[in-house]
Amino acid sequence: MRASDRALMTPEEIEAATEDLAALARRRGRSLRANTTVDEGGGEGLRSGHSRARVQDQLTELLRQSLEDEVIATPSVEDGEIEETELSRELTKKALVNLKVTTLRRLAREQQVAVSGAAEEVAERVARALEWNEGEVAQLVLAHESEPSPERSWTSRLFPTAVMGDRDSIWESLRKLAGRYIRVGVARWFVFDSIDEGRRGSVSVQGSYRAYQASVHESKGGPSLQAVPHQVQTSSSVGAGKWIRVDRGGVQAAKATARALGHATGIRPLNGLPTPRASAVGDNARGVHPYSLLMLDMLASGLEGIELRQRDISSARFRVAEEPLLADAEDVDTSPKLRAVSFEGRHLLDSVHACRLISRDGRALVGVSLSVSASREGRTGRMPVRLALENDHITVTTGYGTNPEVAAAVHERLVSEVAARAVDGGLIGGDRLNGLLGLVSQRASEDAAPAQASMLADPEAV
Amino acid sequence: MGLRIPPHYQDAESTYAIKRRWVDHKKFDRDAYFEAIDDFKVHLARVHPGSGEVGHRSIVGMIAMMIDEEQSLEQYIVASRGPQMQNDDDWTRLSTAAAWYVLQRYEREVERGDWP
Repeated sequence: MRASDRALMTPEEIEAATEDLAALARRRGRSLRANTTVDEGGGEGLRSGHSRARVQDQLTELLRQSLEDEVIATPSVEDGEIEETELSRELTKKALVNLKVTTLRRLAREQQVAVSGAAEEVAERVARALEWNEGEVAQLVLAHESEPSPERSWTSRLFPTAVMGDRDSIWESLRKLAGRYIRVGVARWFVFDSIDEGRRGSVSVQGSYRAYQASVHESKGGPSLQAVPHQVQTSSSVGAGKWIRVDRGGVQAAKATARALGHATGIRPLNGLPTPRASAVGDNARGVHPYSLLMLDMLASGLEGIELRQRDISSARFRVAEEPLLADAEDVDTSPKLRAVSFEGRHLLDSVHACRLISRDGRALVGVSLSVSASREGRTGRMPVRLALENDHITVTTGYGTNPEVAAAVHERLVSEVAARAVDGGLIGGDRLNGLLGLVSQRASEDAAPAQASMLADPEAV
Repeated sequence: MGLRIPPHYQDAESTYAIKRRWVDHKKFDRDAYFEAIDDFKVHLARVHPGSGEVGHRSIVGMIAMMIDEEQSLEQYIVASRGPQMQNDDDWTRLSTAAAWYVLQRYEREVERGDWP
């Protein structure tokens, strides 16, 4: 039934309709009982020990709920607010609807409710199966997030640099900039708020990226320019290796921060990512794009090295056309172009199509999102992770998942693993990478994916 | 393709054979239930004046109440499983599950032209 077809009813009307319909149904039942010859025992026949009144209440409530679902309820506004129970239920549904539809249907199957229908309907069934318990729904959502959400994740971006730099000279260069700013583009500035000792011998910078949009404002006095400010705090570090690390902030703020640190220290970000040395891997790497090698190396040895388990790739992004690596290049060509394709599903590295893009077509695997499980000091957690190779940096995003403390530790280890590869020829997977490349090549030649995913299976499961 | 029974009600058939030994049994008062369903639909349609469509869940809710009041399902279950086998929630679920199977039979017979 479409929403536009539904009748509008007040809660009082729904309540009255429920009572009328319940009375009708019960009259029918009583009438039939009166006309029926009872099998054994006479009178009321065999009776169970349940509370008849309680069951009647429950059935009436079920009827009221189903009527509510079939009409559009129009409760009155109390104190200018949405009714508390309705708000709570809608928020519970909203949390579920934010999951991917395929994930939502899987949850519905696990809860043994119908999987068909629009996302909202499926979410409602799942929530009802969990008796609208917000805690249980929250745990379910956290355990099944396939993508880190911006508000519940850590994001770190690593900008490779040509040199590592001398820690003392970096410190001297940055120290004197505390409380100052530099311009990093048209109406864009970076403010160095504070300079501190960072981890692993690095220098850390707390700063803010400030950008202004200029728009023309029409008024009686004639047109004038109006500035719309945009400000983002970033946290960055330089000097721990041949990269600049930027935490927090979006991509523009991160690029501006890296550029500012480059101006200040002379350690400038490269225009592109270093190309991994395919020759270090062996024959299985022949024809595989260097970026795919980098990503597979992370998946093969990086994730396993930090003991991430139950790795399930839910999206994979391939670049299908090589573009100039200059980040700010103007594209004046107006012809249609397909630059990238994304696959979504489960255990995507086991997909024949994905393997063919990697192995046969030599496309660049530039992004993966996956769910992983990890244990740290006796605590376990499941969390979504995203790795992305951009034109001039690598992004690592880790969702808080079911245990933010475990996820925080995982994020730091992931950043370290990526940093170890964000330098010239930085493939360190060795036999593991070679083995995975062999499996990808073999899968690419098969007709169909296997019934059971095996590509990133846990070591003990192989 | 007949009416699909929601998965969480399907164990009523595997555990209690509600469909086979109650809904499809010769003692089940098919005409009384089917007449009632026709009546329920008319009343429910008044709640949905715009579309005239009536949701399965609401009809099932009403059939479940009729089943609960009529009590022959209760007698069947108690006779076969004993009086203390189920709690209140179980009885609510069993009545609702049975109502789904009754509606499934109703729709099948309407489709075949066997009702009305």
